[in-house]
Amino acid sequence: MIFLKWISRIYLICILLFLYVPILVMIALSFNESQLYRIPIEWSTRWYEALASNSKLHSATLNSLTVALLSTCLSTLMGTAVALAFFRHDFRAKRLLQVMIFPPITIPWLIIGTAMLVFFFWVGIGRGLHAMILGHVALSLPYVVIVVSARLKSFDSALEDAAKSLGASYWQTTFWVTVPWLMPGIIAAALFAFAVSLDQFVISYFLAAPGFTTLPVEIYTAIRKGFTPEINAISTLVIFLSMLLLLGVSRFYRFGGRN
Amino acid sequence: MANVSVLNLSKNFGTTTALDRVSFQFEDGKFFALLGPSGSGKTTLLRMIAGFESPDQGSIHIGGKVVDHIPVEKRDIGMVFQNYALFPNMNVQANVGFGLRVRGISGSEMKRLVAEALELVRLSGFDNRQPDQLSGGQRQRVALARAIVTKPRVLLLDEPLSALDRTLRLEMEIELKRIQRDVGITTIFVTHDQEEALTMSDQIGILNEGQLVQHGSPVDIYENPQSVFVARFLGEANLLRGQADGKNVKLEIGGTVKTLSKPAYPQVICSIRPEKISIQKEQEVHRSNGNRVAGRVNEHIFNGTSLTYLVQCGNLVVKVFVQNLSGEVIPPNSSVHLFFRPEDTLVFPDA
Amino acid sequence: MNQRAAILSLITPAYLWLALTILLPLSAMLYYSFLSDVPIGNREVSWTTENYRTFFEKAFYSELMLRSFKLGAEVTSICLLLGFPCALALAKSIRGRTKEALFLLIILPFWSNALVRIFSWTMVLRGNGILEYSINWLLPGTGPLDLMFTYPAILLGLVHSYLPYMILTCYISIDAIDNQLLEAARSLGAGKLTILFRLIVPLALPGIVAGSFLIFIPVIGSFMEPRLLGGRNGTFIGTIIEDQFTAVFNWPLGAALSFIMMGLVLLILFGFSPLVRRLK
Repeated sequence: MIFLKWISRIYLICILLFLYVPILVMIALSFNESQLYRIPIEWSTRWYEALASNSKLHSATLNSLTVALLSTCLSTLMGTAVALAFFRHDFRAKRLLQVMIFPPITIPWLIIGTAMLVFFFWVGIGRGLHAMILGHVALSLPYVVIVVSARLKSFDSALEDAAKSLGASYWQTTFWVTVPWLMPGIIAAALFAFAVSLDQFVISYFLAAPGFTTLPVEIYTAIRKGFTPEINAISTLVIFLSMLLLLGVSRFYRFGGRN
Repeated sequence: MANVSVLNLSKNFGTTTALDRVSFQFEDGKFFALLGPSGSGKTTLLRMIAGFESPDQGSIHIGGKVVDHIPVEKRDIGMVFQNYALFPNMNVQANVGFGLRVRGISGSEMKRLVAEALELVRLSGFDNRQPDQLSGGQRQRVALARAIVTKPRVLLLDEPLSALDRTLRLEMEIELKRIQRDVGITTIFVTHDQEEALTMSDQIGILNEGQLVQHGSPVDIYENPQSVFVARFLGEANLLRGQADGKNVKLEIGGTVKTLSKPAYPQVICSIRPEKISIQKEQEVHRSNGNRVAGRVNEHIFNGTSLTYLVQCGNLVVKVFVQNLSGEVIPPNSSVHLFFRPEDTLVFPDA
Repeated sequence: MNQRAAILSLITPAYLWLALTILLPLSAMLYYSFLSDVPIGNREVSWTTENYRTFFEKAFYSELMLRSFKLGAEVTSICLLLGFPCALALAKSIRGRTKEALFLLIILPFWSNALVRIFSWTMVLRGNGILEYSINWLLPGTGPLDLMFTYPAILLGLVHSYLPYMILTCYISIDAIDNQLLEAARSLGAGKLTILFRLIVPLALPGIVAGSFLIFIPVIGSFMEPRLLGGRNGTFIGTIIEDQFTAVFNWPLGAALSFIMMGLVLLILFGFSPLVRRLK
């Protein structure tokens, strides 16, 4: 049904402008010569050049990537396993366990982050790389389960039955039949988990150790201290990277449901 | 109630032609079936009458008035959709009462009318059920009650029986026909099922590739198809190629036959319905008048009341339906002769 | 293969992980919220309910809590008002390639870096920033707007952050509505408004409710957004809790405030539960 076709187009464009204009402004200002963001913009790439010699940002970037990579591997593995268990088996605690997967996205990150800080401190885990990986995996698990489960919805379990009837064991069936079929979903989930980890600020903020910060934490500290277009430059790179990742996800997973 | 007429309707979707200059009169109070293969334009025609699509050319009249610029919601139609489209957030009563409420009828008056409609479709007492608590057949009845409760001028049915299983479908065919007769509403029914069209309707219009190729009563269309397409689409037909000499047709599979009308073209196709052919073993042949073709029985399919023979005649397999009168079966590989009357031998030009 | 062993081997790693990172930390925090001090070194620590009492005794905290909930409600309502029509337009009036592309464009910022997006607003709102510059260019003499470090600035930033949530959840439930239902309503004589309020809104309610909670809950716990966009006006319960953990080092009070906040959220969820149950 054509529902007020033109009004809805114009409205959608306004919403898109609202969503994108600030980001575009930020990007434009990263190419501004003036340190004080003077307008009109004088074209310059000096802030990107400055990034090249900022060793603090370099190590923070490296840390971010390390945390993201490791937690992506772990959460994709564990999340896929959980999705498979929910898809294949019916068991008593299933409903409860399904609900239990969601707290990481339904409780404010502030509370989860501070709770982790308290607990990790208390039992001696402390802060830093290992603590952040613990936290990021928990955060991305629900997303992995959701994305892989969505792909599983269109899986014909007769394929598994067929494999079993041909003599394949439980794990042979899993690794030779189910997992290959699931691969697009698993790739989407992994990219998704990577994006979640890379963009995660709140948890990282509480679990960052003095010698170990991630890029978002470093950016936050810099903003609070008073910022320069250098922050715009690094932010521009970050936003391009995360949008690129999500475009990658969308190749494998339809966000609107209906796979 | 009102009659509906469409004049010269055409519609293109991109480069595909959905309807091509279709004109037709749907008379008041009659039951019409629009029959055609998928993509023939029958659903487009129905949706145009409803107002969901607008024609590129031509116009539509309901009750003698042009409705081309009247939106769906003001056309005063009733429509039953393929998957019923019952509102899942409303119970049966609210579903059936929806059209009344929109028209400002509520309270006890609405309840009375809804109860009447539900009684008509034999679902009294189902008022408080939710759509997902109903069986397929019940949903169908609710959808029908909802469509007729507002006493619309015309009832449009879009393949309403296609989602039902066979037994339920036969039952609903009878019900639908009864309700239509009781209410006396002009009804247009879209289907791709020829049996449905034949059993239910007063008039059938056959569409193919956007054109109305033939219309008339079921008997008329079945007995006098005007084209090979109609002969094959409505019922079954054996199609035999041949050459005409102005009087008789010399069939490719052997034999010369007389036809209903004089063949006016040199290359023709003869069409004979399987039930109009009689079959006799070669050694027992005792009839000589009418058309005759020789062949050999390939196999037979026995289904109780009747027998279907597949007879190899030259390079063609001819289908023959025989009533099970004697309980006798001609075994495979028997040589047989097939007989059919010239009146049952229709002739069409070979395109 | 034993079914039980299979299930256990599939789910145990994930749930152990969640226990270690969610369940145990929340329990530890609950424990801390009843302590008189952080148990470091040889400090004297005792059980107390003082942290909870502080909240009820000092109007300062409850006012801030109220302010946070008000912020949450406002952000959620604005997101609903802006997002629902957007989802409707996207789901029901645009088709094919354009629809997919527009949808992707709208949710793309959704998971992209939240911090960076808030930062981008400081670029727009700051004194002599783009907004003032362009408004003064359009209407000379408007003068400074002084939007930065105000409540509306926080509102703007949060709506920008969370709007895609609402669009996404509403879109999913509106898109699932069979077009035949809308056609059926029209064939029965219903106009656009009737269809909107009698059919689309009730059928999209699950999406509306889901979107509202997904926005409301994180917003009342937000601290980064108010700090960056609100400056001195950006004190909310979230920033106070953060202070207890990072600056003041009063973990027990921070823990108690967190639990009060979660308790209130649960109460609200509970209040909505008849509605949520009806949706099932």
